Formats: sequence, C-alpha cells, structure tokens
Amino acid sequence: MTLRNVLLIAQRDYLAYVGRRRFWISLLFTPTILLGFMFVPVMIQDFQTAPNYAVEDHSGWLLNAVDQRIAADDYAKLLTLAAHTPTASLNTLPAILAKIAPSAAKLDDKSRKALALAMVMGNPAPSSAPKLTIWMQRDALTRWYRGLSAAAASKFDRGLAIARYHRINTAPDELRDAVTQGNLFAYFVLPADPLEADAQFTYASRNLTDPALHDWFGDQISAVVRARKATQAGLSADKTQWLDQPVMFQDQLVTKAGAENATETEKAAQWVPVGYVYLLFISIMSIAQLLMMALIEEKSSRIAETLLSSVEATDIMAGKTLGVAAVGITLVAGQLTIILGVLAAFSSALPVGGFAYAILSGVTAWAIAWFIIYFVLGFLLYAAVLGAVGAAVNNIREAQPFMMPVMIFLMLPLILMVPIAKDPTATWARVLSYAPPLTPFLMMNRSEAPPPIIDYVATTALLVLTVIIAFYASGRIFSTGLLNTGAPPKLKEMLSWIRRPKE
Amino acid sequence: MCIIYESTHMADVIVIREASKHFGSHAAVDGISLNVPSGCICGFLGPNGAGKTTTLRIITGILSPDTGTVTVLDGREPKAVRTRIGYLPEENGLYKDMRVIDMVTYFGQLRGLLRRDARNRARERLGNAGLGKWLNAKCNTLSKGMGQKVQVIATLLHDPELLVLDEPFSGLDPVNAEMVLELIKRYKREGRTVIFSTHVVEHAEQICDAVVIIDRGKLKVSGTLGEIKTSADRTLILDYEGNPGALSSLPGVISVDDAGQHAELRLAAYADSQALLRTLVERVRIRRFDTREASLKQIFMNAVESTHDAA
Repeated sequence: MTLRNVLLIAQRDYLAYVGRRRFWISLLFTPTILLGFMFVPVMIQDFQTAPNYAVEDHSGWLLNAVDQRIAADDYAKLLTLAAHTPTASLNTLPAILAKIAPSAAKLDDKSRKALALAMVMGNPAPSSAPKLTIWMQRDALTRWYRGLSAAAASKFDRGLAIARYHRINTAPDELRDAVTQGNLFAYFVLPADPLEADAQFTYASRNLTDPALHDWFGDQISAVVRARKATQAGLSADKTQWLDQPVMFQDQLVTKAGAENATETEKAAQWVPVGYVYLLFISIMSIAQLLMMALIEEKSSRIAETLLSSVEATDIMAGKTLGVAAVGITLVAGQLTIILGVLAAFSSALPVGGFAYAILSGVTAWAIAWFIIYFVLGFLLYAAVLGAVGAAVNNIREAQPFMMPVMIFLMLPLILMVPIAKDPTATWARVLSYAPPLTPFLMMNRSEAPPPIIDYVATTALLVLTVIIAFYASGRIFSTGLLNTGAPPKLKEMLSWIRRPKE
Repeated sequence: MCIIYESTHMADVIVIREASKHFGSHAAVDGISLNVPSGCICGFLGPNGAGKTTTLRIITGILSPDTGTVTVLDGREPKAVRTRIGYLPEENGLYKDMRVIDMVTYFGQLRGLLRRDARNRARERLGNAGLGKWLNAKCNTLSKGMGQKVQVIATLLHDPELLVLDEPFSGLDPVNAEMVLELIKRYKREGRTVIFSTHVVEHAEQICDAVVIIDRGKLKVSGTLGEIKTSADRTLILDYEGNPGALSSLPGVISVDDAGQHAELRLAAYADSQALLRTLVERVRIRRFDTREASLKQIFMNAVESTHDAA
C-alpha cells in the first residue's frame, strides 16, 4: 500500500463529495428536521392566541375559589422564575419580580408554593424574613399580575395559566352561539351545589379532541371541591391540605460517588445513550452506504480499471474508505455544530432549546472519546462489508440482496435501544454487546450505567479483530469484484473470491 | 515459447513465460509465452473472449497470473513499474463531476507526477489538443469525442515508456480513430513501445511491427508481420485448360478449390512454387499462375478457425 496514493484518492473523493450540492443538503437536512421538531411546536404556540373560555357558575362561590387557586399557582411559578433568574439578568424581569427575586431565591419550592397560596388567600403575614419581604409586595404583585396580558405573560413562563387560557365573561344565553361562532373555544357550567354527590358539571366545546383546557380546569375545580368537602366534614384547612398532598418522590441519581438528588436535566440525560445509538446508526449507515455508492459509481463510470492500472486495489479501498469517512465525519460534526449552535443561540428564548442544550453540554469527554472510537470501528466494519458489495455489483439494484442482512444488524440496535436505556446492566444487553456488529451501538447504549472496563476492553479488542478480518476478506473481494462487470455474483461466489490468490 | 523478434540489438520490454489465468474453471489465459522487444508496435488480435484483455491486464499488473511469470520494462514485475506504463482500458470513463484539468492532473499524480508538473502538463496538452477552453469545464459537459481525447491525454500525461491500449479504436469516429493511429505512430517514432488489442485487422496490418493472435486463451500465432506472412500458407490462383483430375496430388498443396478451368490452391508455407509450376505444365495448359501472400485477415481467420475446428 502506498500512503501517497491512499491520500490522493481520499482527497479526491472528499473534495468530490463535499463539493456536491447533495452534501450541503444532507448537512442541513438532519439539523433542520431535528430543530424543527423542537422549535416548530413552540413557535406555533407563539402565533396561537390563548383559547377563550367562559364559566357559568350557578354555585356563586366555586369560580372565585378556583380563581384564587389558579392565581396561587401562577404566583408560585413567578416566584420560582424570579428565584432562578441569575443576578446579572434581573434587569430582564419586570421591576416587581426583580425586587422579590433575591428573597425568592432563599426559599425552596414548597415554601414558595405555600407563600403564594397565603398571599392569594390573604392569610396573615409570615414571620420569616425572606417570606415577609415578598409578602410586603403582595399588593404590587397582584396589581401587576391582574394587568398582565396573555402575550406578555407567555414571555415569562408559558406555563402560567394566564398565558395559556383567557377567560371572558359571556351571558349564559349567548354561550352556545359564542362557541359556534368561534368566539369561545369552550365553556363550563358549574352546578348550584358542587358538593352534592351527583352534581352535574358540564364542559361544552366544538372541539373535544383537545383535552388540555378540560383537564386543567377540571383539576382546579376538583381540588377546590375536595377541599370544601373536607372542611364540611370537619377537617381543618391544614388537615385538608395534608390529605390533598400527593406522595412526592425525591429522585436521586446513584453514581460511584454516592446518591445525589437529580435535576430534571440529569434525569433527561439518562436518555442521552439513545441519542448516541441513533447518531451512530444514522452516521454509520449513511456513510458506509456512501462508500458503497461511490464504488458502484466508480464501476459504472468505467474508472475502476484505469485506477487499478495506476495503483493497488488496496490503495483504492483504503483511499475511498478514508475519503468517505472524512466526508461522514465532516457531515456529522457539521450537523452537531449547527444543532448545538442553534440551541445555544436560542436557549434563553426557547426553554426547550435551553433544556436540550443543557443535556448536550453535559456529555462527558469520556463518552465522546468512546463515541469516536466506536464510530470509527463501527464504520470500518460496515464499510468493509458494504465496500465489498459495492465493488462486486454493478448497480444499486444488484446490491439490494446483500444489503438485507447488513440492514438487519443495523436495525437491531435501534429496536433494542429503549429497553437497554431502561436497563443498561441487563445480562442480555451485556452478552449482545460482545457481538462485534452490535458492539458500537450497544456499548454506547450502556454507557450511562456505565459498563465495567473489562467490557470496554474485551468488546473493543473483539471488534478490532473483526474489523481486521473483515478488511482482509473485503480486500480480496474488492480486487476481484472491481473488474467484474458481468452478472452480479452470488454470495457463494463472492466468498470464493476470498480464497483466491491476491491479485 | 514464442519470440516475436530474435533480437540482439533491442531489449525485451515484455517477457511472459507460461502464464495462465483462470476464473473459476475457465482458463482466460492458458500457458502463454511471449517476448515483445523495445520500440515496436505490437498488435494483439483475437475474437471476443480470446483472452486479449486478460493478457493486457496481466502485462499492466492489474491481474497476476495464477502460474508462470511476467516481467516488464527492465525485467521488473508489472506492479513495480506501474508509473512507467500507460494503460487505456477498452471501457473507460471520466469523473463526471470533476473539472477536466483536475481529472487529468489527478491521474497524472496517481502515476507518479508531482502535482505542479501534472497540472502544467495537463494544461499544455489539453491546450494542444484543442481543449484549452474546456480546462475548467465539468467532464460531464464534454462531447464523446472530447471525452475520448481527455482520456488519452490522461493516460499519456506521465509519458509512459510502455503504452498498452485495449481496443483503442472501439467506438471511435474516423477522426478520433485517426488521432489514435497517429498517436501510436508518434510513440513508435519516439522509441517507445506500444501494444494494443483490436478487432480491426486492417489497423494491425497498417501499423504493427509485430502481431500476436490469441484464441481461447492460447497463443496461436506471433511474430513480425513479415515472418508471419512468410510462414503462413499462400494462395495460388490458377487458370488452366485440361483435365480437372490433374490438380490432385500436387506437392505442397493443402487444398484445392477447383471450379473447372479456374482453381484456387492453398499452398503450404514450405511449398516450392517453381517446382509446382513445372509439375503443372506437364499436366495442363496454364493461362494464369499467380501466387499470393496470405493477408493478415486470412492468417487470423485460419488461426482462429483451426482452434474452433479442433474444438
């Protein structure tokens, strides 16, 4: 093998592919689709106005109680938003939130919720300093909150009820017309005695397929009615709250360093290995197929024989593998750069982007190093197989029968990726990761556990050995197949080429 | 073993000894031995599937013989002297998306030229061939004729000492066929060696110093044109008056095609035409006695037919 020739062939193939419009379309296609899935629903929300709804309350008290509860939820969210805003960014908040932010930051979630409820219900002033500081601002906060439009509220937190839904007052006899004319998305009818066992609550809308408003408002009503029933039964407000309180687990992430409370980002990061598997699948499949297509193109354009008269078959195979691998690495790196760049640029504007960026930023150097190792070895293994196929056949149609078993091996990790992500230490997952065609995918799938070092070493050694054998066999098929322009060979014939003396 | 030239003043550029190449059970080349001296034009003739392309591929190092030996240029293995050989396969193409200048430069580099040299030569030779305006055009914009010129220029960019052309006239229009003929002659004038395979016997007869006829993987005939023709059967055209039976049992006559008063006699290479004339004068009245050297086409047909008859 001559390094100069290998590099020349690799350089030509690299420049030829990178210079094609198809490459740039591929470069932009995956990030566009991925980012589209992330951002389009959020952007659609921006253009959507909060649906209008109305409530016909025959009880005379239930709606007020629900309003208080909704306001308490929103206050709690606003306190949390203020608490989590970095000091340097406080100037981006409205003055009232900026003012209470330092005190809110000193409270935990539970305390903020309790304080929000107390402010809405007009409970007595709390005794602790941070709570009192916020409490003192309750009138100003209420005035600001009541003057807040849905559009303005959505800029702070899309989860605020005031941002999500807009209640309008409508005369009872106009409700149905308002819905049919599209002025109302839905209306609720609350009974005169909501505490009766068979009390009839009504939800009416032209669109019953979107349950969001129904579920949200229903939950609020249920909570208020439950609390009122408890009070009637002689329970104190504290006891009612105690009864109403759901069981909350504190999720902890166990590592060798110990068990620590897990943040939402950390919990989501447990699914990062699924991302590795998918990225490996996409990159290996597309790049190895690219190599096969490059060889078929070489044969169909009748250049293979001219090349073979100038350089060794092994030079051609190595050069093409290297060139196409470089194309693939450029493609994947470019796509990741675009995705991370867009997520970083819009992380503050779009929460989902920031969340995804936080997860991706948490990817360790160890994981990246193994990803690169498994990408290279996985690519080489599948490149050896598909390269031999590409050299032996004359067109993509002839390649189809040989592609089938390769695709089965490539699809298997996709089928297994979720079960393994849920149980990365399962014995079956460990055993299967020793099968070289599956090793790159399954080892990355198990990476969050993480697997013992012996698994990394042994599976990688086995994979390297398999890659060497595959390249030896593929090289033999390649040198014979590249000159084969007749009928496509049968698998048995291709295997017999391996045993032939080297050309 | 067949030696084209019993040469003492010219070194052999190609030496093949008992070379065989099998694809499965099929013998594409079957025990061929051959010497091709330096500076000659050697034509490989043979019907389809005769083994010409396989032999040329063995000579260029693309294939290795299963048995036997092949040495090229100073007794080296073909693969070791690839950069001194120029090979134009029968079916060759261009990288469609590449610019003409880049593609020719690329092949020059693969054949050992430095990038700068390859580029300068490519620019100069493409210009000389009338393709100066097409240097930066994509190859897929060239006409078929221009594409063929580009392929030839790419093949010769590194000034090979040995030029191997597989069916170089196949699919060419008369203008391009003439260009290839001129190219082969120019290479000969420059003292280089050219071997090419062809179906067109006239081309071989027109320009070849030596000819090799292969059929079914075996070498049937080889030598200089003069040697081959001298050693081949000749034809005697005879117009006569007399008894037709008088043409039987003539010395050195292989076959007689007698139409009565006009006959064509196939003479063995060793036949003595003077002795034959004397014998015939004693038997019939002769009005025409015309011996003709066999044409290359006849020699080719005889060589191929004899194989097929034997089969």
